[in-house]
Amino acid sequence: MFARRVTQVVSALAINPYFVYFSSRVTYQGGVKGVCVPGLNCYACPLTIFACPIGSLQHSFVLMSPKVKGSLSQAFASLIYVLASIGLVGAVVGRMPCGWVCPFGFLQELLHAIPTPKLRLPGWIRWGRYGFLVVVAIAIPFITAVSWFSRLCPAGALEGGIFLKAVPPEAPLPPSGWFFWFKIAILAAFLLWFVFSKRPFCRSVCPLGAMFGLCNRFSLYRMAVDDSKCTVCGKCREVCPVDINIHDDPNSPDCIRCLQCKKACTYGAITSGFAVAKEGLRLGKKAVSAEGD
Amino acid sequence: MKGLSRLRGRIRIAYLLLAIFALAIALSFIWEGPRTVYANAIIICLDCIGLI
Repeated sequence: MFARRVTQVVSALAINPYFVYFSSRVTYQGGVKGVCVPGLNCYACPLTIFACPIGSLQHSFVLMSPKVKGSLSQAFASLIYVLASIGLVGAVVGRMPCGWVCPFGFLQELLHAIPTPKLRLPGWIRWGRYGFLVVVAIAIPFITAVSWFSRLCPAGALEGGIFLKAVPPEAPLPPSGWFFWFKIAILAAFLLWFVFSKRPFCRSVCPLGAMFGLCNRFSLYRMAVDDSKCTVCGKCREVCPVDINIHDDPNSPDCIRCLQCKKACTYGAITSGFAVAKEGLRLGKKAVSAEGD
Repeated sequence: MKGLSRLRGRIRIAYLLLAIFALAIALSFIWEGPRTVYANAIIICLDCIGLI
């Protein structure tokens, strides 16, 4: 837990290190801003030096939209670049950045640590993130030429909206209308939800989590369960920040690979690593055995 | 053994996908993919902050 918390803090600072903004009031303009960060971090945040992968994905579809007379080759190149950047990280570690790097995921875990009665979410809620990916982050930007996921994103309201209102940039911003306050209301609702449920945004809304989650099925880094050691005691689910039973499906798209379960398992039934493929270890729903499955 | 060979096959697929993604990133440079992302990212995203 300690190593992960340190990594989360260091990642949040590494993604948002541009403290020069406080004196210059000009956001970072260097070349690194063309690199998509493997986490949900708003590129409107004045401290960030990276691009938001979901914002960039939407922008590619906005450029492809029939309403915009943009360069299609640039739009496709941008889309390929964003998808391949996500795929490259996903093919190596799957959804691990959600558990170790993403600042918005970190915030959810911090707020969930507030001692209150907790609310368990139903399993079907996971389908929401695929819906948000396909409909709100892809289809609607393509049809309307507006980045609607960005418009609704609570991470943008927190890291960009509130921050830029508190510490405005040198160039004046448009005045805040009703939509700004609507966005703040969305953020407030999510912040409240974070206190009561385990990572609800990651599980039900995040399009980046949806894409990284699909990579869990084929990534080089894998989780595995030894059924001969597992007693189905439920300790793994207790500590899991996304409330899953790792022994049901070790490489489930829902798993953020925080490895809390591995540490909590007193029987040593959970293992993980690169290219794990040993007899007796189960990586999927079906058991891997010498007799075949 | 069938299960194990299937897993090793998946690992090969992962390496293949890694190579494809790396190649795709390299190719996207030709048509200014990173440049397009950069040009969008350096402008303060008014959609993101709710000032539309």
